[in-house]
Amino acid sequence: MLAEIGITSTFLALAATIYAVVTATIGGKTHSERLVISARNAALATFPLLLLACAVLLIALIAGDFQINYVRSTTDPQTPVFYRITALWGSQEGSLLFWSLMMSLFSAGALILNWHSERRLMPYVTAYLMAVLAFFLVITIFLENPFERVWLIPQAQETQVVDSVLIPANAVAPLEQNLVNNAQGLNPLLRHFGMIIHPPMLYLGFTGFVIPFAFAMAALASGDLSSNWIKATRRWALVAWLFLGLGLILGGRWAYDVLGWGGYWGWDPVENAAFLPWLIGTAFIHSAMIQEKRGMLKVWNMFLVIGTFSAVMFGTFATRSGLVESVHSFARSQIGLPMFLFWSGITLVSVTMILWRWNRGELKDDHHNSGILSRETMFVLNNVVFVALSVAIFWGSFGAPIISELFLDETITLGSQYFMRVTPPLFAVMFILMGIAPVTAWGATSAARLGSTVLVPAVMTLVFVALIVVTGTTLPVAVISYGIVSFAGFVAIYEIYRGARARMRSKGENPVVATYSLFTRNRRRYGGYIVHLGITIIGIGVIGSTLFQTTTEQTLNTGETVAINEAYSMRFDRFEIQQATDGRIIDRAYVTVIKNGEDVAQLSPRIDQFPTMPMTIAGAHSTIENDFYVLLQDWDTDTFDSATFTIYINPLINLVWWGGLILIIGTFISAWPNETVPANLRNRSAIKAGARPIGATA
Amino acid sequence: MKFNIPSLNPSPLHREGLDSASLKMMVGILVVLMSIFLFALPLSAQESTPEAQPTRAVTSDDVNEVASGMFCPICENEPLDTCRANTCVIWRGEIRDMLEQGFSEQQVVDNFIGRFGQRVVDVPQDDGLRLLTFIGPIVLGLLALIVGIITFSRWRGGDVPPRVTTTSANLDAGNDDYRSQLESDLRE
Repeated sequence: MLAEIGITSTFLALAATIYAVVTATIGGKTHSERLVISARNAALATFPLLLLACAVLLIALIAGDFQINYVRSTTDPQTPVFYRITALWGSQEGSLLFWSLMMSLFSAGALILNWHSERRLMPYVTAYLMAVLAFFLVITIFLENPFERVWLIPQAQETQVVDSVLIPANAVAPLEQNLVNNAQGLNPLLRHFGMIIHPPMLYLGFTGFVIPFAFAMAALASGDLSSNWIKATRRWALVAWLFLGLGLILGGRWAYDVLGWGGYWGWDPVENAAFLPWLIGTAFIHSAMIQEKRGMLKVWNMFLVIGTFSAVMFGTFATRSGLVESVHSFARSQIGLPMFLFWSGITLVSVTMILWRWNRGELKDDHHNSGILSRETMFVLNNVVFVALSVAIFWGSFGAPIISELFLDETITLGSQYFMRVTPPLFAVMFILMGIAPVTAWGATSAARLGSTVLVPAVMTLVFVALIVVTGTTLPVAVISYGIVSFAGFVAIYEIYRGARARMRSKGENPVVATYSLFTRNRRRYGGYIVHLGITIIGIGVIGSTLFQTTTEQTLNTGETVAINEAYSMRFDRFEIQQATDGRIIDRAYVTVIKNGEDVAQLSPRIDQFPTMPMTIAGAHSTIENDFYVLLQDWDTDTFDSATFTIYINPLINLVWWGGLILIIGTFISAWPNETVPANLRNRSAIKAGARPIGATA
Repeated sequence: MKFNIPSLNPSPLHREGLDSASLKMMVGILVVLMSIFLFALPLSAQESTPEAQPTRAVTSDDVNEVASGMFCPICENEPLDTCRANTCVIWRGEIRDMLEQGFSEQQVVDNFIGRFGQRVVDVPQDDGLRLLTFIGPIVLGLLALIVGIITFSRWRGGDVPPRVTTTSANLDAGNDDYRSQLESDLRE
């Protein structure tokens, strides 16, 4: 019964999307208010329908309805409820349904919040949103249905086993005990707290970018090529960017905790596939400001927003099609070709529409740049850097390997050596621009004025660098890197300080009130500074943990101590084998971390032996200064009195997580609405501004 | 369908708007930025060349140093030094044996490439493939540079607004009054 409800609600959601696409398109073309509203209602209906479908699947997972193949492949009777919930997105079929739910949620949000203010665009926005959702529902229903069940069809010779969504003729359900015996349980890699929120955050980020994309396409389709679509989608883009960034950071943390290689970013193709839309989206968020404020970069912004969504679709295709394999990717499946056709088709159509409007002269900029030293220039340079980063990462992850395999008949895989040579210079330029651009004026500024604005942050940077050198960091590349990165942070701090000080002087406010007022008066600007500060802190963490990581592999006897560096040593205390309540065998070592001769922490790195695979769980002692991170590699299986460990000391790595938190706070501040206007007043102001419902006569 | 893509040749209006010093400065900035990128590649590519080493005691760290630049043959995109697959354990054992026999790091890598192809290393050692690997981003980066220059050139033409000189007028258009006040307060 559960499966029938899920199948029906998913199918109804698909019917609603198709109806919405058709009626919104016709309504938009014929200016039929009735059809457009009908399309909107159908589009809004997809969210509760998909919510019901997901709820049904969740109930099936929790209740253990093992006749449903998805439930059997992702859980077993021993799986805790906690992981039964995360199993909803733990495999291909469920995650596609969950993805569709997220997309319908964003679509409903955009249709409700932007309906009155962007009335002319909304029919086309509805059509594009629902067209994308319809594609995902088609592959969910017809290719990767999470409600597919196993059936037995008794025949004369032998019983036939059939996987089917609907009940085949003469079919019976298998015995419950047989189903339970075949239950596989959740992939051990996904049994981590981070997996509760990492995939949903990424999906929210991915699906969130459909809103700016749909508005851009609506602008191209409707001919309303003013900056309305940019203004309507700025917050949506920021929200999507926030979720995607959050997903990347949580993914890094998950990798650090679960994958057992001592790091958080491995330049894995699937990691990179998620990083690409974030990079292009970052370029879009910056250049959108130029169009909003100066009416410039209209064509470029169209390309960026379409490039962002295209990168989302490509990443989804690469992850789910089997194009690349990694710890992140889903198994090879039959959705590869449809996803490739959809990705290439949607990109081709979008680019063609841009060129068509451009050819008609409808995407001309309102202003031209008047000065080289202007914020517009800095933002364009920033865009060049982000796009160059995207290109370099795409090339290393997909371009070169695919070309090599197709045309040179040689399989290659590019790893960290490639990425660590190509990307650091570009990131350095990015940080320099991050420091200069915010203090450069729109229109034009003079070199002298720019110099005087950055003088104090530059001096602060020099002092900071001097302190670093005095405290013992003399590696030139580290000193230069810290200097470049910290400059961007000092600019952000100094600008906040200047603003607060001005308010203290002019308004007589105390520092707290002045700073609060500063942020509430211009959330976008000062939220942006907080974001820059967060990125700076992440940058410092990345430099420290990359350039100064210490690693060694050591075999120790019980009671033996090994020195790792001048400060740290580690003692192997004992080894134990335990059995967990869910059946896994835990091989656990107990070690003591010693710093400057004193015991500072007891750690227990372990290996969880699941039936399908072993999982290496690190033991870590975290401080703001560094992480002492230990992996159990091997042990004497006869006497258990010796074990082999890989030991990492990762300096400043926690700044990566703290910087991520600051980045999230900053993005919230930036995206938060400045004021709340009652709906009736919004309608009135829209009418005053000349907006009219579709179909109304002029 | 015929597309009228804007020409690379600047219009007379563009030429009027193009101040040669400014254009040089603009191009200079872009060239410097791209040069940092381009020069970093050959500099960072100057890795140590292989040399024969005498037979020596080999530690696990020595083995992992070599393995960190190689990939597991089974688990795609999994570095050899961290992979736990049995094949990787065997490969690391082979690396240890070779190092103990006096192979240099490069000789070990070459041995594996000879047997399994370029896919075992995280940057191809073959000259042609290496060229493909690093030339791609350079070519695409240069294309981005050209697009940037064209964008600047197009911007510099047309109805250029008067150059503003006062402090307050230079400020954020959406926040002029506030920033003006801020600047005057700061001058006090």
